[in-house]
Amino acid sequence: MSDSLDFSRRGLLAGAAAFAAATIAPGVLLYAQPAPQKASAKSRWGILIDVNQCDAGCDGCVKACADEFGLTSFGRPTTDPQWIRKLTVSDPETGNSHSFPVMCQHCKHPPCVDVCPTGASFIRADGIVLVDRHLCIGCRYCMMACPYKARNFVHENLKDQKSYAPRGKGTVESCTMCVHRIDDGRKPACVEACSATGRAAMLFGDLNDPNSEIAKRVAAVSTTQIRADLRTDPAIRYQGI
Amino acid sequence: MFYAAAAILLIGLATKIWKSLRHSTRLKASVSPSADHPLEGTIRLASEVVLFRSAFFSDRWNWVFGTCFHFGLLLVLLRHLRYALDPAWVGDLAWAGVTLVQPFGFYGGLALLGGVLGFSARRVLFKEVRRNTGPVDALLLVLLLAVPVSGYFSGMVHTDVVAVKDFFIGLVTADVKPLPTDPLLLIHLWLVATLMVVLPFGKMLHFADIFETIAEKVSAPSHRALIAKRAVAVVLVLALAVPAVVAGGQVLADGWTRAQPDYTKLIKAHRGDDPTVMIRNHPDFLLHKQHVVVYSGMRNTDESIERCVTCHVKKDAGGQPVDFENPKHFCTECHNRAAVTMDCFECHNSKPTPAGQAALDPATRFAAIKDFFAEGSSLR
Repeated sequence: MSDSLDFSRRGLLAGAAAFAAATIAPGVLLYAQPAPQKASAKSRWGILIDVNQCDAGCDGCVKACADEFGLTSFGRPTTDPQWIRKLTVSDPETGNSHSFPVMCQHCKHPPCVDVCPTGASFIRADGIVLVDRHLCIGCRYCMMACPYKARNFVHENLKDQKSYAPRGKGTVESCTMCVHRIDDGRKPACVEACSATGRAAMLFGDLNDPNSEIAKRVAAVSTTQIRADLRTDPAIRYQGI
Repeated sequence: MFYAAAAILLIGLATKIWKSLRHSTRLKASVSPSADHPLEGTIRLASEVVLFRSAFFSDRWNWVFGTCFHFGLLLVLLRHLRYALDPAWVGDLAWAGVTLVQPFGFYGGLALLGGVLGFSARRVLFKEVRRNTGPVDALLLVLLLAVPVSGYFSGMVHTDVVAVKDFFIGLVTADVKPLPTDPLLLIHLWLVATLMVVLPFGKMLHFADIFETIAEKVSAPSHRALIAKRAVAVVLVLALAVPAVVAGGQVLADGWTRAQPDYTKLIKAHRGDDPTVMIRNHPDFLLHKQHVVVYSGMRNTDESIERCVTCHVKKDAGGQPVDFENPKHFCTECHNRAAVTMDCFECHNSKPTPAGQAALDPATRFAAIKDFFAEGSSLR
């Protein structure tokens, strides 16, 4: 049964009924599943990136992102999707050089949301900035408005999208901070991949929760936001730039 | 009822054409001034048929409403082809055309309605037209108003169009199937049948006149002819009224549920005991849940598209789930049959993902539920 897709309704009922499920009326099936929680304004999800821990030769986070969302290259670098990029910055005075990932910064005051003519670009109650592709008309104003070059336009016909990440030609997309994982109680794919390398340069958590590790770290050490002068107040913070 | 209506329409049409053909020697005069070249005559006749040339030069209002009405009607008829044609009969390309014309047909119907309203206003407002208006003309106009209005309303209640199509294909192939008993749909179809019956008795089948283009001689009806006409009228009224009364009685007795199409194959776990609710409103359900999932992060709802796909998967010969481009795909099969385009899978995956398969697999669900109740579960 377990390797077959062609299960019958009876099999389904039997499997579910044995465990905390009940048929309360013919055709009405109740079964236990994790109660969905609404995104709450109490949380503000954020990522702290320790630049000193980030290896210039490592692109684990970029690969993990591509795997998670099925971001495939079409061999056209100018238009290939790129939700997370590795940047190398250097100080010409000292020769000091750092490499670190840049993705959607999930601003508290996102310029992309301000300029969107259809309301497709929006910020969730918990601070995650997303695109509603049912509303997006592909005008790309948000791409122009974003100071972080975080957004991409889908130029190609896509097939076999991930069920949790619908992507389609003609709409704008960007890092979702793996919102489907967060709603599921898991960490973003890039953060997970970074810990898997042993460097753990990325720390994910709730900035609003004073007991979370990220809130404690942000309170203890000096961190920066990219282009803080624009006062967009990103949820992605960097340590050691 | 539909067979009888179609027969009356065809016989009436044939009679009109037959009458006209008896005057066919006058055809050449109709496209005067004389055409020097056969091509010129053809062009002039074509402009008469397609653009209503003489109406344009004689009665401008008539031409405006007539153009609206006729081109609207053309689009509406093309749109309704989806009920009368099986995609297998006409080939993929022609069917793509039927699919393409669907949205235009919607607006064509509005043009048609505007034309009929214009004609009605013309009959009321213009003195010389009002004098020429008989009861049949008024009845035809009322029917022509009621048919599109009832059509739009029956569209609004999300009729099960695939079942309607099965019914009409059944009519064409003499294999009658049950019709969904929507009050508005039944009213619409009854009005159409009535219109088909009344049409031959009015001025509306005037395209037959292209064969003569001059009016018939008017002769005073004899007494006997008048009696015959009245008898025919009584029979027709009965023919239309009896099915309406019978259907109405059935409906009152059984509360609209009788003679539903066979939905036993449908999984009833969707929405209580009435699968038609799911069939009719599936786009609304999907869109509503989209909003909840995207804006509030309420995932794991039963109506997420992944769940739909997971249950409704169709497999190819190799046992692999098929893509929406495959005509066997669950959604594609119906949508193609009803000539309705579908954009969902331009972005969403049309096949179950391994995670989606697991979601409804009893063994995996067993594990997930056990995990949920275990203390310190990550699912909390």
